[in-house]
Amino acid sequence: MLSDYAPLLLLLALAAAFVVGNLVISEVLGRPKPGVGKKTVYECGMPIRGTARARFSVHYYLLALLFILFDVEAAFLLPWAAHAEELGKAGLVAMGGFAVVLVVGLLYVMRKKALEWDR
Amino acid sequence: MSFFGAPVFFLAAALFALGIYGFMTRRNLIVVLMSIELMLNAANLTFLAAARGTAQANEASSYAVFVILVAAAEVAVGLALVLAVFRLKRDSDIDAARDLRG
Amino acid sequence: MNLLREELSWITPELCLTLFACVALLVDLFVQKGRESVMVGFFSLMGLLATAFFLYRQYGVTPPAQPVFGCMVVDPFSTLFKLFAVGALAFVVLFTMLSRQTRPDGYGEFYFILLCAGLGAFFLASTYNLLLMYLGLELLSIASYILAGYAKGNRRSGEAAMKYVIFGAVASGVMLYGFTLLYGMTGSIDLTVIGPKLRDQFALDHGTIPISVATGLCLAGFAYKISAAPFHFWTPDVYEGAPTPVTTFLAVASKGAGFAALLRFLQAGFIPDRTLGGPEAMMGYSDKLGTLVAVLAALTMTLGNLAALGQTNLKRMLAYSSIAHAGYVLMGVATMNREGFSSVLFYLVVYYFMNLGAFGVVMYYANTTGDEQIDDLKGLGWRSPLVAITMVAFLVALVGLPPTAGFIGKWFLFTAAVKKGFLWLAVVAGINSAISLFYYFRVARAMWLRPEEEAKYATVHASPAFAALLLVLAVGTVWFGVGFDSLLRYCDYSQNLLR
Repeated sequence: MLSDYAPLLLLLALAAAFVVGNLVISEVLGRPKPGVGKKTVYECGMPIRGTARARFSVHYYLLALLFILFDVEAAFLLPWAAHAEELGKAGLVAMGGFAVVLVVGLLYVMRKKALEWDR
Repeated sequence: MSFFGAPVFFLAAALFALGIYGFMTRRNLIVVLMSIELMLNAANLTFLAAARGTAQANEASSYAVFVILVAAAEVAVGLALVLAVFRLKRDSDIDAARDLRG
Repeated sequence: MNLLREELSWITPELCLTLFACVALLVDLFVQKGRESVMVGFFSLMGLLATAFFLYRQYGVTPPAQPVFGCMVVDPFSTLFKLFAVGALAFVVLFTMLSRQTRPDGYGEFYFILLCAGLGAFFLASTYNLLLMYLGLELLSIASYILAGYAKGNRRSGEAAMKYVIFGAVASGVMLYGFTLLYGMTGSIDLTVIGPKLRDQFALDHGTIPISVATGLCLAGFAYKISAAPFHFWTPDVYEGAPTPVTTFLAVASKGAGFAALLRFLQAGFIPDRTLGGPEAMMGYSDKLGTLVAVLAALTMTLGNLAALGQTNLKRMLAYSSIAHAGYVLMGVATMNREGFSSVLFYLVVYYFMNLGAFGVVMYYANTTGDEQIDDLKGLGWRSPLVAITMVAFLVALVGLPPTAGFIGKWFLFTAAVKKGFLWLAVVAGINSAISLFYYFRVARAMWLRPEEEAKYATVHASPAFAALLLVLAVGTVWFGVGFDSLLRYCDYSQNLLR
């Protein structure tokens, strides 16, 4: 049972050894050559613009909040979908009511133009 | 009663205590909200751990979904209010809230 | 399908309220388009009226043997609370529509959120299911957070809402954790199952420490909702900062629903059935719990009253007074018996009337002067004597003097406490009532003093409709002080059918 995980452990050990080994080798053999390029933040090779301390637009929060809310509410649909046949009409009515309330919320959000990114 | 001997219970209790600790000591409102999330997740963990291996495991999972939903709604409102206050006061520190005294 | 229809018919009030809340929101979105919110207010009132009608129809009917959908209990106890929640909501909606200062014109959502909060109170008052209780509490709380911060751009309102949401979230989290511990011990979230299971555990003598921890955590959440010590410190800030209609809602409907849930929680889970003769350990535990609540009650009323003495802001003073009143009501809870719980119900009804009225007067006078300082009340008694007289009635009731309902309500609470053996608590409450006389009297005196500058508030926009509402409340306050038999019977009836 536990031996099934042996390859995984071996992989972990190898990975750790590789990383530590490389660090040690570069520390022992390498000579430090400091430069401007080395001290800047690595941005996938792109030139850096501004600082990392920029503020996000408040719209970002709004959209993120709305996304979280609808996302979590959609989580209720999954258990129902998995058992829709057993739950029958009662389940359909219940989820219908739930969906209607959700749609009212969505209408509200759309009507208040909260989903429009650049207004 | 055997449930209270399970390691998961101690993990949940530790999470809960961490949440309370964060709420008591942190001054940044966002971090306070995160601490609250920690407490709710401790409750969720207790729910799931208590029902593990019993016939009610499915029920307990559905309770957890409800709690997650409430946590999301609560944090949405909390974050919105913190942002609103931040816009008025330019500060998300809990000590900035001192207009109401008496 | 027939079963579904029957079950749905039991929750018509909730369905009706939900429907009208959605309709109010849609009207705001598509008909009013956010310009004026008067029409939305009217729709909300209609919804409340319809809900009250359905509730009234439910009152005399034999409640269903099993909880509806396995979690909603329809009994006279919950119906009574729901009726008063609807009444309080209607008054809050009317106050909002009539008040100039706080009328959120162009913010029709205000009514929608108010109705949602009412729905939360409905669920809170009518379930033995811990999960639904938690959901109801959260629905009520989250809506209240938004309402408290409704005056956008007002620093005090924003700060009030922020404090409310932080402390509220922690308290409900603590309570939820307590619930999960109960679930871990008993394997159920239904209080009617948890109660007997706990009794078994007491009988097996497993020790009470886990149960005490769980109960303590749960009680913390309830104490927060009813603003009892030591979880009361949010109350003054939130009550002062929130718009006054919202404060009224928080002080009346929210607190009432909190008490309803607390009564259910204690009754189902922790009061042994005396006729069956529960195990000795559970009797002892129930009494200990009662003593704990009694200590909290004494602490709450003393802290509230002492802090109220030094206040200059009328709303803040009423906030501390509402803390003190939570202490008085807890006195009845501490008895842990039916008589005490029935006196709690009676007092809550009285409390509805006098606090709705007192906060109504605050709104009336803030409409005309734009201020809430006690000193600025000067001359109100000469400018609008009718309103001032109603305020005197509310104040007398708040002190607990005859011939108002406040006296009768306190009388029942005191007798229940003394009968249970909490003589010391009754003495503390008596001293507290005497203390409260000082600060309530200060308000009454200020109203009948001549203002130094006669012309300062010469432009009084007396609103007859508002004055009429206050008069209705004042009449209720006095009437229940004289003809209280029917209300008492009503409360006893509701209470005796509680499980």
